[in-house]
Amino acid sequence: MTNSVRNAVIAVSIGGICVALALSLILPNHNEPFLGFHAIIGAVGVLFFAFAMRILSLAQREGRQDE
Amino acid sequence: MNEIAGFLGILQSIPPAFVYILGAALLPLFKGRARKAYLVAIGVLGLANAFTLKPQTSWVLQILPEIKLTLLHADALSLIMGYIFTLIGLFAIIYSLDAVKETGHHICALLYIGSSLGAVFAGDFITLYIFWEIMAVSSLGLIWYEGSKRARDAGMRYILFHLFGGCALLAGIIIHFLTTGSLTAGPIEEMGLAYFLILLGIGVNTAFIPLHTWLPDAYPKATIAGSVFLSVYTTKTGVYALARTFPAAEAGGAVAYMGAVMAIYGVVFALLQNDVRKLLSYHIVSQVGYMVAGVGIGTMMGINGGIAHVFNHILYKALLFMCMGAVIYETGRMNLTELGGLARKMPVTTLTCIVAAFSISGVIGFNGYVSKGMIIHAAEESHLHLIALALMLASVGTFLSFLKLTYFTFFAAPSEEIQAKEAPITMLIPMVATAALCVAIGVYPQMLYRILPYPEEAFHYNAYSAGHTLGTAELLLMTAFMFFAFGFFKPHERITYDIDHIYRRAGRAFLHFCEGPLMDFAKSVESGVMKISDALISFSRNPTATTRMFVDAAAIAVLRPFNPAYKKYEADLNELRRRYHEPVENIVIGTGVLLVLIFFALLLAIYLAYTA
Repeated sequence: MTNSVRNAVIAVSIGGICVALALSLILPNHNEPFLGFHAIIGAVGVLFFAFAMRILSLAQREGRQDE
Repeated sequence: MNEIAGFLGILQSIPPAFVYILGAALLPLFKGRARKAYLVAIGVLGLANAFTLKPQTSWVLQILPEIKLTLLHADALSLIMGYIFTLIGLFAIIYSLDAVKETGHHICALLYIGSSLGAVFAGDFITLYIFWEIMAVSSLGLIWYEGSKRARDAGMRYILFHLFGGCALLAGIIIHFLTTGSLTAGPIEEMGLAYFLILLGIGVNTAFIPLHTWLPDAYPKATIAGSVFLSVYTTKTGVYALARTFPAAEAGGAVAYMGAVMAIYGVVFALLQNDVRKLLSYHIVSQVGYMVAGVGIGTMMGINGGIAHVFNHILYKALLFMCMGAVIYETGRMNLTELGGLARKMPVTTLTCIVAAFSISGVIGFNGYVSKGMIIHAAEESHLHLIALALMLASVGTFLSFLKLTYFTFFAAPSEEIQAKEAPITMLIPMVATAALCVAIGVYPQMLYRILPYPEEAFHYNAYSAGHTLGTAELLLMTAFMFFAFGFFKPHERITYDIDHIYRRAGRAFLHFCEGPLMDFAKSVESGVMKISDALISFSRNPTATTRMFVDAAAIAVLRPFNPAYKKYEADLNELRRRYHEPVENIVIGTGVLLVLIFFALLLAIYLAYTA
């Protein structure tokens, strides 16, 4: 179940991004600075949070969080 | 029918706080099923009370010739808060019926709801402050009823923070009253000490960085139902007070930037959490950041967005705490590393949790999508592009967090088989009802626009414009793709230091300073004072000998390094000390009294001579 859910979400995500970009090309009145701006923000955002977590992992210690 | 109309007529002029506070007072009279029915009745009555209130209704109590307490002041801003507080109050009460056994816990919950409503409908700062403090103390009960040592310790830290905030608020109110002569709960326009103290007091409740640490510390340690109540009232009352007192104030820009910082900061720490309720607690900081940004932007669209987000956030955050509470209730586990595979065992909880996760992430068609869009739109309209970008980044982080929460709780393979079944019906009913509202507002946002502080402005906003819809779709789909494709965000069992680590270290250092150097200094001061008092006693007994001893001691100290003559003084001092212990001739008490009387007679004579 785990892998099937994961693969399904990946497939839907890629398909969805393609559809959204295609619609952005077709539909007027979208307010993006350039095509795919929000997709890039999404990718940069994920990398930003991964990097932030890596930095904050330097300020961690062993132990259970609920203690 | 006439009776019902008459009853509603009475109800619509009573402050909603009274319903809950009176309800709490009478609760011990009920037991068993009657108690459950009574609790639901209080919730329904409170809801009816809030929904029948008319704008501009007020309820004033004159306590001193110049001071009036406005216990009820209903306007668009307070009414929307009243609606959502009473609505979610009813849901949380139903949720707690089976989850909570202690009467005291229910009393604390009712007092907490009542005092939050009291603060929201307060027309003056004194009333606001009184309910503010009741809110802090009653919410403490929801943490302490958990019963463990960690809950007691967290509760103590929680109340210390809130007492500090309350003191700042009270000091600000007093200074504001002394400088302006007004106690009306309204915008504070003059920058000064009162301005900053009131902002500080509100900032504690609103979890401004770095005053936020009480929130992720205390909320995960409260009872299961307690954390549902806590997630709703304290921070949102803070946002309400901020909107009431600092809309578009001079520090508005700073407040908006503080909101953006909160939005990012909360998300980063939420992503690092393993405890599900701690993850949700950090997300309160982040989501309150959106509200603070909206209010701080200060335009009609910004305030509408901020208040709409309060409304929506209360729904989905209470729902998230309900879902995670149900998971903890059924499994006894609260860490993502210990959970997984619950989707088939708890399908209703899974579905409602997905609705809440989509709502908080601003997925199209859910309520968070509408209010987040309003705030980002307000920031862009005000040319605060950095804030808009920060809020978009926070959206990415929020979606990442909730993909992590839902995936590792309900879908990922658990480390060991978990025995669980669906939560009790009393928990599921409010969960399903709240989820339905999240979807309803997302699909038909006009029902929310109608009750916002500036409805005309809200109706000009098109949540489902092509740009907003496609942009959001791109943002969230890319986030989902990267989350599942790269797997950066697996839960782990390590503790991340927050700012409270600095407070705790500083606190320990302060205690060490108090117990070490400060105590040594106190002892040396005490010993010095004792020496002085001994000297005064000996002087009063034998002034001549004491004076000679003092002169001898001083002479020895001065002459010893370079003049052998000091030995003469040393011999004299030894002789005096030897003789000093011999009995000294005392005067009888009567003589002493006579001397005192003569002294006072002289004093009286001098006084009369000069005043004649």
